Amino acid sequence: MKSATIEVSLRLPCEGENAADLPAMVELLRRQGVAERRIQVLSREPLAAFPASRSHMSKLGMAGALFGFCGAITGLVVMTLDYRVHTGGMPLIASFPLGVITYEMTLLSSILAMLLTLFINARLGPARRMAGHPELDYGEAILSVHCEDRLQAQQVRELLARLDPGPMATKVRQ
Amino acid sequence: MLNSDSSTNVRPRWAMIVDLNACTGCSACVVACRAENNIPITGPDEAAYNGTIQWMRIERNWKGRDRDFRVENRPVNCQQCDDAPCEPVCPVLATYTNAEGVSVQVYNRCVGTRYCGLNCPYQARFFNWFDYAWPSPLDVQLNPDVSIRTRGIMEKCSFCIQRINAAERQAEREKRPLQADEIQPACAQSCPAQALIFGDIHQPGGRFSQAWKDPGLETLLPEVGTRPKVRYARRVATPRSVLAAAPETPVAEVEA
Amino acid sequence: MSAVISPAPHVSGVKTAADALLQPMRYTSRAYRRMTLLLLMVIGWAMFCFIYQAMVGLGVTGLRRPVFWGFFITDFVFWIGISHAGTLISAILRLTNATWRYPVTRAAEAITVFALMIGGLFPMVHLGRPWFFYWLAPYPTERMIWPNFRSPLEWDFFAISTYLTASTLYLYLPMLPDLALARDRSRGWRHRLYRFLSMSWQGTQVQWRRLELAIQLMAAVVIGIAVSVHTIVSWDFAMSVVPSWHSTIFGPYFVAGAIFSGIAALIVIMAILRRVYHLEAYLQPKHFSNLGKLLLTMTLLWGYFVTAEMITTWYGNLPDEMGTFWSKVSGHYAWLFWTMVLCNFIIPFPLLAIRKLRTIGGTVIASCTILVGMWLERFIIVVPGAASQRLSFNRWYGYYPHWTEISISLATLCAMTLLYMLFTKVFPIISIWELGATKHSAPAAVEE
Repeated sequence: MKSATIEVSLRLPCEGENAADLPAMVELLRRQGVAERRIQVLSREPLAAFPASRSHMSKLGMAGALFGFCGAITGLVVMTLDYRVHTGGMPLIASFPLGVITYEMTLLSSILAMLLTLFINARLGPARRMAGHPELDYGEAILSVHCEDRLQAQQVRELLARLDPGPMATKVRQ
Repeated sequence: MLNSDSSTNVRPRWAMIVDLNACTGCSACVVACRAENNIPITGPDEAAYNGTIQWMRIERNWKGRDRDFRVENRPVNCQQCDDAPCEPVCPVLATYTNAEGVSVQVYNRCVGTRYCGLNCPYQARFFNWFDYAWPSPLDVQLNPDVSIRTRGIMEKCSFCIQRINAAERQAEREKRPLQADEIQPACAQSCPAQALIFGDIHQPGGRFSQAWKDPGLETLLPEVGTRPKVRYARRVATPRSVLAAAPETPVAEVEA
Repeated sequence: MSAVISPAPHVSGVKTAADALLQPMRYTSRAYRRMTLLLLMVIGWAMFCFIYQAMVGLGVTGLRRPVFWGFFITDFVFWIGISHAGTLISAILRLTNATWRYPVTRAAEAITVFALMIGGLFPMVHLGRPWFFYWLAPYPTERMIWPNFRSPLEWDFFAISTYLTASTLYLYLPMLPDLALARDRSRGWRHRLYRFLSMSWQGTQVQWRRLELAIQLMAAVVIGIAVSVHTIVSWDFAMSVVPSWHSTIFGPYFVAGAIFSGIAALIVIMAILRRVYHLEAYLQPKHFSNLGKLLLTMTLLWGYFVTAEMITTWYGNLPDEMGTFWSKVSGHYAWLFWTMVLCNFIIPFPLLAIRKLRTIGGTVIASCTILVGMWLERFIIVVPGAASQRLSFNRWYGYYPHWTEISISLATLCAMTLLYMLFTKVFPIISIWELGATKHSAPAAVEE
């Protein structure tokens, strides 16, 4: 979020008998016109109630593998041709050793591609300022809505107060 | 796919024939090699613990037992293999077969993994376990044409490549082809029995290249498939004892 | 100390499992500090030995022609083998969705990273000129000379650097949520460290889904890497022309041996963690029993491989290979060979096969003997093979390790212990979120 936003957050139990129906609450907020990207459910553990979304991670992993495969072969051939040793009649570009190194580079590149995908998809990175909820504990979740302005924040607060009387916090974040 | 040795049939290809029948095991070649190639003297303690360096050694193989035995002296140096097992295993390309067929060791490039030493079936490669010293007056006889090896690198017989290079440069300066017997490595030069014969396989019509093709020549450990450029000549004759054991039947009788 | 990890602020008096698992990070005992000092001294001595060896020459070791490789390569293969504990086991357990794995995976993955760091040093330690180790890397020099891609040692370079990268990521990614927890419960330099390492992990559901997917996908790739790494290590030997090394069985044989010793290392380390950090509630007898069953499988597999290797050599009766064979079975190295069989099979088999004996104590004893046995196995492969030369003139059974080799080998054990000790002080050694911390209450044994 580039401009200053007001975060309204609600702390709820997500396990046991009093567990809140978080997906339903998210759905309600969305129907009230809150954009989906502004709604976040934070938890210390993955919540089974939210289904897995589609991801291109495996495809990008494959793309990374392909990149590593081609890159390794190109690099190895170029390097070998660049310094032509006398091989005493053996082929200068040896296929099997090339394959061994290419295999390693393929898998490495695939892993790095998946890592990159993860960091971009999950918006991870060292530079971002923390919009943290250190009070969050196991067995509970925080429903957080980043509002555009005070008016929307007020609406969201009222909406959430009707849903659950739990502790609510409002913070202005940069 | 690609072969970088495109000029192999023009350049000479150096090789050696060892006449086992002539070798007396006198070890002059071992000493000459040590002097020529600045091979360090490691001392008695190291010698007792397998720490000697000998580019050329005499393997004394005893056959038979008690009083009924034969001794065979076999000079063994680097066999200068065409398919050298030591070469592909070096991670830094410190050893390769050069354009004239000599398997060379690049001292400056060697990092000392010692993999080549393990992969040499002839154990013709030696490692510099220490920085060795030449106590005076031995330092005076050091050959200025050969570099002194530091600790931590491999070394081995180079067919006296400094002599080969010097002769080739000389011939080039004088704008003439290299003569057949111009080059002698130190071992061959010093052999009193002339058991070590050095020459060029590619020399057309040369005596050495003719002798090299003799099917009677043997190689050491042919089963490893290294295709060495050192071949051994050994007279194969039926032992007198076997002749004596043959039945004394006249040939004519059998034919009839 | 300014850096404190505090209990959750809102729950006063009630300790959750998450707090219990952060406990080892909060408090260091005097014994811990003394142990650290001791280990540092041993490692310092080993570093002196290494520098001495580099300055004087490798002649200070017991290595001589034709035994060009000895203790260092044994250590190399051994530690690379230990590194298969982690990633491979944890990846297999993850992919098969074995739910008992939760308290075990992090400990295993950490072993991988540290064992690789240690093992990966040995190709440098054993070099004749270790200061030129970087020549193995393909970097553009002014002469544009590149490394030799045909050399199995060059494959090692690529394989080990790939494996180290992959296994570090595989340790790190599942740790992200726990690092975020530590970030939220700490102050001072620790807070800054965890804030950086947790990569602004918040725990949104998108993050969770993507992380779970990434771990799952990486587990599959990491298995491919781990198997290839030890196969390539075995190819250092198998690709040579040395009679007993040049063997097709070496790839799978080494991989099986690596997993074997890896599980053993994991069991030993788990037992120590359980004892030292009072993790009895998490590392339960059933975990040891389950790992014991895996270890039993690997014992049998190892026995199968050794039998297959030995019997084919013996039946073929080729003179070159029989030299090595007899030096192992009845010759110079026989006492090591039979100790290895005792340690790897005869002692652990009953301990692991009989259910009553497959207790924590039983599995730990079996694991300790297996670790010794597997080190001996690596030695038995390296040295007798090199010593038994084809030309009988060159055979030499005189190799004995000298003090630098022994010191450096012992120091690897200390380095492993030290790295692991430091790790447990900075990172939660049991995956808190995977364990499902709410489902467990804190064990009573934990003291403040």
